[in-house]
Amino acid sequence: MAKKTECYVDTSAFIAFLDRSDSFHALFRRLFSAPPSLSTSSLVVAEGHGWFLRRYDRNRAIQFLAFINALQGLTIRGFDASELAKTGRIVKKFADQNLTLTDAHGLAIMRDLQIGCCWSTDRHLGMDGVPLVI
Amino acid sequence: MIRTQVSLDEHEYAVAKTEAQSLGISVAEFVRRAIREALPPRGEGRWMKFAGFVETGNSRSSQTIDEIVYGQKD
Repeated sequence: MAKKTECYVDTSAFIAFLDRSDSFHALFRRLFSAPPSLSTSSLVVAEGHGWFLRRYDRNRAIQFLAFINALQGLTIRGFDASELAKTGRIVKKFADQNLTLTDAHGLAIMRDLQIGCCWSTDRHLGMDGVPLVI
Repeated sequence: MIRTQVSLDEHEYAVAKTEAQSLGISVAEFVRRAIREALPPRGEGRWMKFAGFVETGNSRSSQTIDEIVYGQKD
């Protein structure tokens, strides 16, 4: 039987871990050194890859993917039509916020899997009441 | 110690030899050090070698992702 996901990981947690300049770097370095079972969205992986492409170059973006592949115990949820339908409902619910599809998919995954812990520095991920780790 | 063979192209070998000489060590020791640097510390997961692999200089880096990926609003 698959182990229950303990925490959801957002793009911001990955960037805080990978960027030594980030004020939350030490926290996420400690958390990732002994991670529980984690879940994330395929959109988070795309967003992180895009961040490295925009901020640096394709080589760093590929290193980001190598990091994702190396991270043990990470489950990545795909994004198909049914995920889009769930995510779209969340975007509409929070229509007064600049919620990205990636953020909304994170909220949908936390609801689906009843995850009670979120690794993120983005307040949008706390909109459904799941506490952020920061 | 386990003995193994490594093939380098001429340029890599020449540069490694020069660097090793400048450090006062053998090429073999230079290669061992390069491998140790590339490996994660003992007892840590392979992913930990990526910790802090970039340095943006922005302490709010993780909180400004949308601006980088999606751009600033006009």
